[in-house]
Amino acid sequence: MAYDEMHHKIRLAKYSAYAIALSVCGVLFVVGVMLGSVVIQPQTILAVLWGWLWGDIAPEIPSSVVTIITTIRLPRVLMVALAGAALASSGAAYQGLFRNPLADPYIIGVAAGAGLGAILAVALLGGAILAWYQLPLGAFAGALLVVVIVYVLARQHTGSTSNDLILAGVALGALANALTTFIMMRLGRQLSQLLGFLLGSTGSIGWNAVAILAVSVSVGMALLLVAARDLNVLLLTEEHALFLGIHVKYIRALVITGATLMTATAVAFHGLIGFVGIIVPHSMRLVVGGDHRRLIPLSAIAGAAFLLFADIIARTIQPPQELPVGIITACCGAPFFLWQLLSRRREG
Amino acid sequence: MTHAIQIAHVHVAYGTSTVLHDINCSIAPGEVVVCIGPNGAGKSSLLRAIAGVVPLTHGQIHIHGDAIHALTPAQRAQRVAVVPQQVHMPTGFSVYDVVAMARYVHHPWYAPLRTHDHDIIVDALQRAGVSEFAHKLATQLSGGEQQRVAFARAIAQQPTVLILDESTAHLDLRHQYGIVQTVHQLARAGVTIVAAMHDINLAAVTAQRICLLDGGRLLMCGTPAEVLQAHHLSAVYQTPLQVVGRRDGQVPYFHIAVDGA
Repeated sequence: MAYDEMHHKIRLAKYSAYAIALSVCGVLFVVGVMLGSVVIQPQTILAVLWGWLWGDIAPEIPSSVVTIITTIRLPRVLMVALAGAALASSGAAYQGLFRNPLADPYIIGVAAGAGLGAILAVALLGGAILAWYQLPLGAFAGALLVVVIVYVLARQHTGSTSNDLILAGVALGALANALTTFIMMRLGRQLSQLLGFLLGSTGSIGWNAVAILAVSVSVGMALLLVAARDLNVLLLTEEHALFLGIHVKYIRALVITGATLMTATAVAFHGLIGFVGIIVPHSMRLVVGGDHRRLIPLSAIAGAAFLLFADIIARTIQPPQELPVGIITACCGAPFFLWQLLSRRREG
Repeated sequence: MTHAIQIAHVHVAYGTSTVLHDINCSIAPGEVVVCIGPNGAGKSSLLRAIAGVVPLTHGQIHIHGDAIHALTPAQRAQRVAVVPQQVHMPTGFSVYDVVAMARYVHHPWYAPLRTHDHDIIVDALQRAGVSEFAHKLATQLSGGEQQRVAFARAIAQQPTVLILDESTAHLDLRHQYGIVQTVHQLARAGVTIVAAMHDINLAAVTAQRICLLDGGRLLMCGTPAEVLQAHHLSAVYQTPLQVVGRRDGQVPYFHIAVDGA
């Protein structure tokens, strides 16, 4: 029957999209570990990874190479992949919740709120003696505050939230950034370090940070996947979702908590990285459609791949200097964003 | 016998303005009731109150004996379905997917839809006359087609009460006729229908009972022949209306009495 045929096609598209995204992600992951001041061959990387997992590293591999891979490159690349997954999947979720394809964590000011929260945690608690949880917790508090304010402002009017949402997000984001800059100026001595933070630096990352980000991405993704099906119905407006029996408040809370947790933790360790949350979900929507049960996981994988790619470019474009990865994502994202605006205008 | 819908002393206010005053009405299972009245009469508010999405400042609404506000959203949606006035279609969903949303409420979030749900969806698509669009993206349809998709979705909820809020407004004559026929089929199967309509003549052929609202009050509720009288309607609509014929010698047809007509 025609319906079954259609569903077969959709399943096929879904699985091939997952397979392609995962393979690209895997390749970029290995390339990310390969590149740096010393280029390491892929077979050496795989041998070290294999040996490291089983606690039995082949003795012919120099210990310096093992150290580079396990203490510098691997945590860094994992961190990049997790941050990309976090930003892209939370972008997809915010877009569903706000019924607006431009709702990226960066554009609606949530990332700036997280940045302010993180900087405040540094300023108030002192950078040196920061406990592992204080930075992400500060970021989460800042991000949550911004997303709730933006949500309340944007939903004053029913129907489309486009203009109100973007205006509220831009205003609050600008305010948060201004406060962040002010606090940075006051802190002075840590300026260069913090500047790197704000532009999205991916250096100097340890396994602790990887573990924290991995946990919050897992929790955030779990919340989003529980909400994903009903988030589809929220696209119809909140009242129509109620007509269809959706527990709107509960789904809204799940989505806001999950997406904001992921965004905040990614920002806490990576600084502000823009546009991942808009380019990736938008492209994936063209591939698998709007259903969040497919869109959110696929965006996570593709987001990881995209940020791995941006990180590789940031490290190799001007060696030995490393560019902040936020510069690369902005260079890809800004034209994309403008193109989106123009094509929306053409549609009327 | 329990009423399908029992509305007792219902008042609804948005902020300081009261939009429904002391509405009382009982509707039997399988009955087709159409609310008419000028803009701002409170038709949509009454329908939304029956659907349980607006808080009542006073009074009670019972659906098959259950107070509507005591039910969870999921329990409500299994009893009452609404075809809204303004239809929104989500980006990146096929018509089939949009109609399938009606079945979500019957399963937990992790469970896929079953063959049984699939059959219900296909049947609803057919009844609303949108089967041919099933694979199309919902956003690519015209306003009238989207309204029929919303109708299909409401049918797929398999409600005992179906609410239609101006659901024929964007439809051409053929599809208005199609919806009225489907409404009568559903009513014969025991579904209670409450609709709001602007077209008095369409209301006359659809309804078993007509409720005339004005200024948030229920002025009259009776058979089309009882309620649809030129002097009542001319007063309520503040427009001179003229009867131009009668169906079965009883139910009148109206047109606006333009000077010299």
